[in-house]
Amino acid sequence: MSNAIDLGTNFSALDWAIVVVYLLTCVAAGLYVKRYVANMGDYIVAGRSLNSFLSIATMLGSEIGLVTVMYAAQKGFLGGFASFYIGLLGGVLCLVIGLTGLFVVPLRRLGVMTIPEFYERRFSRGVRIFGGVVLALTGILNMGMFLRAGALFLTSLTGMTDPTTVKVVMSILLLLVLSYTVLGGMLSVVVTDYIQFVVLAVGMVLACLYALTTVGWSSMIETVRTVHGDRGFDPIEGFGWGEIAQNALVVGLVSTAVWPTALMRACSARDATVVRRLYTWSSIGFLTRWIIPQFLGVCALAYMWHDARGHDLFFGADGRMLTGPAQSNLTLQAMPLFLSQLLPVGVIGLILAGMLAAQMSTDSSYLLCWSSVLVEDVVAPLMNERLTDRQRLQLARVLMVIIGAFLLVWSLWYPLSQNLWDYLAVTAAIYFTGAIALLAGGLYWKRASTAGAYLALGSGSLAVLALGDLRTMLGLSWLKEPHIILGTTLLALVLMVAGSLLWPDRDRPTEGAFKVGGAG
Amino acid sequence: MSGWMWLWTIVLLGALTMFSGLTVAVTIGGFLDIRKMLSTIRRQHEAADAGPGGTESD
Repeated sequence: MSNAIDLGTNFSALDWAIVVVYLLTCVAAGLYVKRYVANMGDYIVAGRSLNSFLSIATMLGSEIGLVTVMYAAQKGFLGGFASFYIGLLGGVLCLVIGLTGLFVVPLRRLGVMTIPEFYERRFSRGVRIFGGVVLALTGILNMGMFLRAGALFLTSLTGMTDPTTVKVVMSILLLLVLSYTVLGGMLSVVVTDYIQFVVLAVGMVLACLYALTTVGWSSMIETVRTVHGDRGFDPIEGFGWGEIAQNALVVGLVSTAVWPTALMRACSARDATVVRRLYTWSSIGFLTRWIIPQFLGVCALAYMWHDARGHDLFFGADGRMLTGPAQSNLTLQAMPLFLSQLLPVGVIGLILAGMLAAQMSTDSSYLLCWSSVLVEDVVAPLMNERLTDRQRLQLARVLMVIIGAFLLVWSLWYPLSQNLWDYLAVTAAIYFTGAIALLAGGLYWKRASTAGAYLALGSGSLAVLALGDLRTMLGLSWLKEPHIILGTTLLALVLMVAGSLLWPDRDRPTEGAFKVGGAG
Repeated sequence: MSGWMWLWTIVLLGALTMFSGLTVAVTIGGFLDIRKMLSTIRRQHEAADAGPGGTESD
């Protein structure tokens, strides 16, 4: 990471001590509970024994990742108060999922452990394997930028300027996460998620209060008005309907009810009542995971505008903000740079611990999710379920280590030529555009068929066109990302319907094999 | 302040207040849930060991 910016920092030895104590506590707790893992059910869904509060802690611990915090803050910095619409959409749509139980309650009642397992129950084993491969590959690719975001945060907050040191610190962090996730699976993940949620929540609220009292509310409003004009307040003018619709889909529906790491929490819950409660209460977290970092992004904007060195860094001689692909890493660093200037010794260590907590809980959940999918939905079905429980556990652990190694390399070498949020949205879209059609068709339409499922899953790959580099290479720069993502989602739904009507299944799943409501 | 600014002020204050409340509730309730979860899993394992064959599969 050669993006180190030296504005000076308040980070001290005491702060490092706080971070080290926190990290050791997490690893010790994660390793302690591994003794309770006896089978694959314990390893993947914690024996399906999560109650409401713990479900909420682990859901929010994993879904409020450092990468979310970083890109949400970047949106706040670049879009002003208008960016708050994203958090509002996330919170409201999560509440709707909790009240209606859309996707999540029927899936929990089916008793599946992964989404591709549902594909097999509803469609065929082939769809499960294909869906598992698509899900795992895109998920791993999506996770590829998490470490980079963490490294940028660490660099900016601590003032570390040596890229090698940053890489070493990030590698150690990943190794710590691997150590307890590999051994303890979901049980370790939920216990460490709990600790991480508490530290992260306290850190986020503290940072907000400090920022608010230091920068001042009126100064923020004035700066947003000067830099962004009306666009900084009105989301329709600032972002446009296309991006708003894309975020309603991605931040609202997908991240709560389609994204597998969130759905794993629904599958791990004790029953359908806990699932509904989990989503209803988590809506506060889904609102806050955007609003607080975006607010910090707005604070960073006001601070940098008034600070001479910050102004030179982020604004041109004409007072316009420096934006564009070349500045995407720079604007990502605005919030941590601001915190490094603002927070006093001790508090800054707590904030870093909180943010590393966010990173670790997300990393552990994602590592567990993708390795479980590869074992349960790709390797085991290919081997006709001949793997024993012990072999599955060992394979999941080996795959987790391989994925971890890949992430280190990918994070360090991929040239991020678009902003982080766009990269994440595009990689996720390759999976979710098809998955929405399979979940909607499979759960709510009796005539949905295997042919329709294959077509819908395959069409999701078109979302790769939303990657800026590829679009430029193919001469399709005139197409905008929201159009591609929304268009691909619609196409997948159309293909699911068309394929099912043209090639219906001869043998529909029997009532006993596919009964929503059996295992609740 | 414009209409939009009023909305964002309410959203921010609401989010901060609700999140602080949720954090307190989840901190206490989550700790109790962890104890319950571990004891449930322990009981499940004891029941599986005591049952016919004491199967290891899920």
